[in-house]
Amino acid sequence: MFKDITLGQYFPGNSPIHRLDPRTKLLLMIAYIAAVFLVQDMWLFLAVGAFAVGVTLLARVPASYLWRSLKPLRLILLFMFVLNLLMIQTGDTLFHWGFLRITEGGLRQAFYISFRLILLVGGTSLVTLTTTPIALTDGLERLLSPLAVFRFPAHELAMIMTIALRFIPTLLEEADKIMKAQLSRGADLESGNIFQRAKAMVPILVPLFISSFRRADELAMAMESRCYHGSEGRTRMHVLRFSRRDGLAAAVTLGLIALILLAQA
Amino acid sequence: MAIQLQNVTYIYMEGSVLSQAAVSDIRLEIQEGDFLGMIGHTGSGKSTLVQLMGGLLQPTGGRVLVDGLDLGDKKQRKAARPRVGLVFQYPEYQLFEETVAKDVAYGPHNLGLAPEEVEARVRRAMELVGLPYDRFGEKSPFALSGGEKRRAALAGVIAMEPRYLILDEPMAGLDPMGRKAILETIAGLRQETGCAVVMVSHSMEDVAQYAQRIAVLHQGRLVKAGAPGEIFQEEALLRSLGLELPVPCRLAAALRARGMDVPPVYTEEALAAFLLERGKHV
Repeated sequence: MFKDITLGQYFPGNSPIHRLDPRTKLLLMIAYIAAVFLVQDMWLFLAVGAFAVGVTLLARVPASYLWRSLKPLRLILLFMFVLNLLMIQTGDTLFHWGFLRITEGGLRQAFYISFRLILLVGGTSLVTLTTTPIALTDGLERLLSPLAVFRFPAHELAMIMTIALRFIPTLLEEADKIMKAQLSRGADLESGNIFQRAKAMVPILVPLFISSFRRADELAMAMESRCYHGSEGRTRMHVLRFSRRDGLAAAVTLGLIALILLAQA
Repeated sequence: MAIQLQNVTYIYMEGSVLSQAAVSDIRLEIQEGDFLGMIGHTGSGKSTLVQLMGGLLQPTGGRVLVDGLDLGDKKQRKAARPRVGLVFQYPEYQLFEETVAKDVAYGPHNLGLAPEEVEARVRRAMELVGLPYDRFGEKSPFALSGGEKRRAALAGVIAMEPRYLILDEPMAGLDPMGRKAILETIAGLRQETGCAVVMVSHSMEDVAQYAQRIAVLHQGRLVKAGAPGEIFQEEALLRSLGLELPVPCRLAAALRARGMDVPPVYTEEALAAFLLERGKHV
C-alpha cells in the first residue's frame, strides 16, 4: 500500500552540483533566497531565473522532477496572484468594474510575488534534489555548531533528524504490514463516518506505537553499547571539506547576485 | 471447494523502473482439508503468494479463486475474506487490545456475529492454542511471554474459523518448545475442524513432518509441487535452489552411504521406527 511512495526528493546523480559540499549549497541557498526577495525588476527576475535554470542543467536534474516540486504550489500561486492584483492599488488604473479595480502597481506586484514564489521553491528544491538527506543534516549540523556556545543543541537536532529520516521507510513498511494483518481480520477502514473511521484506526495505531517505542528502545541500547554519548569528542567518518569546486560555486553565485543587485541599484 | 491460483502473476510497482515480478505464472490448488507446506528461499515469492491468497494484493495477471469466489472482484473478495485466515510473520506485533479476550474477539466481532457466538469462539480458540480463557482472558496481551503472545495472535485468527488457514513462518523466532506448541496447535486445529492449512516455513523438518503436499518456490516460480516423498527425492534440484533436505533424510542418506539399507524416509518417527525394528533383528 505504501510501497509506491518515494521518500524525500533526492535525485541520485554525480554532477558538479551533487558533489558540492552541503554547507556550500545551504549557504548559497540563503544568499539566493535573499536575492530573490531583494529583486524588484522584471528583467532581473529573468536573470535570477536564468541562473536557476543554469544550475538545473548543470545538476542534470530532469525538469519533470523540478516540476513535481512546483506542482503543489499552483493553488497558493493563484491565490497570491489574485490577492495582490486586487488589493494593491497604486499607479494608473487599468481596469475598473464595480468594486473591482486593477492598477498597474497591483499587476506588477502580482507578477513579482508569483515569480518570487516559483524561484524560491524551485531553487530550494534544487538543493534537496541534489543533496542526500543525510548530507543535508550533516551540513546543517556543522553550520549550526558555532551556536553551541549558546548551548544550542546542534548535534542533537541533527541526530534527531537523521534518525527520523532513517525510520520513515521502516515505519511505513510496518504500518503496511499491520494494516494488512488487521484487514485480514475483517477490519473495515474505508466505510463509516469520520468518527467510525478514526476508531477503526486504533487497531493499527496501537501496534504501530508499541513497535516504535520498542524500536526506539533498541536503537538507544545499540547506540549506547557503541559508546554514543552525544557530540563531545565525536569524530566523523565523512569529514566535510570545502574544495576548490565550492570556492568556484560560491564565487560564481555571489558574483552573479552582486551583479544583479548592482544593476538594480 | 478449494483455493485456486490460476496462472497468477504479481508485479511490484508495475510500470515504473523499479518494477519487479514477485510471483510469475503460478498454478496451484489447495483443496479443502489439505496441508500444504510452502518452501523456498528468501525472496522466492512466498510472502507475496500468501497475501494474494488472502486477497490483500490483487494479481497483476491471472486469477485467485476461493471456493469459486474471484478475489479480483471487490464484492466477492469481501465474501471470501472470512474463509481465509492469514497469520503473518511475527503476528504478535498486531495485538492491540487491553485484554487477550478482547483482542481475540476482534476478528469474530468484525464478522458481525452475535456477542454470545463471539464469546464462544473466543473461548474455543483460546483453549485450542493453550491459553485457557479463565486464566488468560483478562490479561493484557502485552504482559504475556513471547510464545504466549504468538499463540494469542494465532487465536485471534483461529476464532474467525476460517476454512483455509494460511501461515507465513508461524514458528520464526520461537524456542523449540514454542515451535512445537504452535505446530501441534495447527495440526490439532486441522484435525478438529477440517480446515486446510498452508504453511510457509524455512524448517524442512517441520514441513516434512506435517505437510501432505509441498510446493517449492524459486524466484517467484513454482518449481515443483507434490507429496513430501516425491519432493525429497529431488535432492539435486533442492540443492540447486539453495534448499537442504530435512535432517532425517540426510541421516538416512548417510546411513545408506555406509551400506545400511534404509528406505526413503523423511520424518524422525519413520527413521526411528525403522532403526528400532532393525535393532530387534540384529
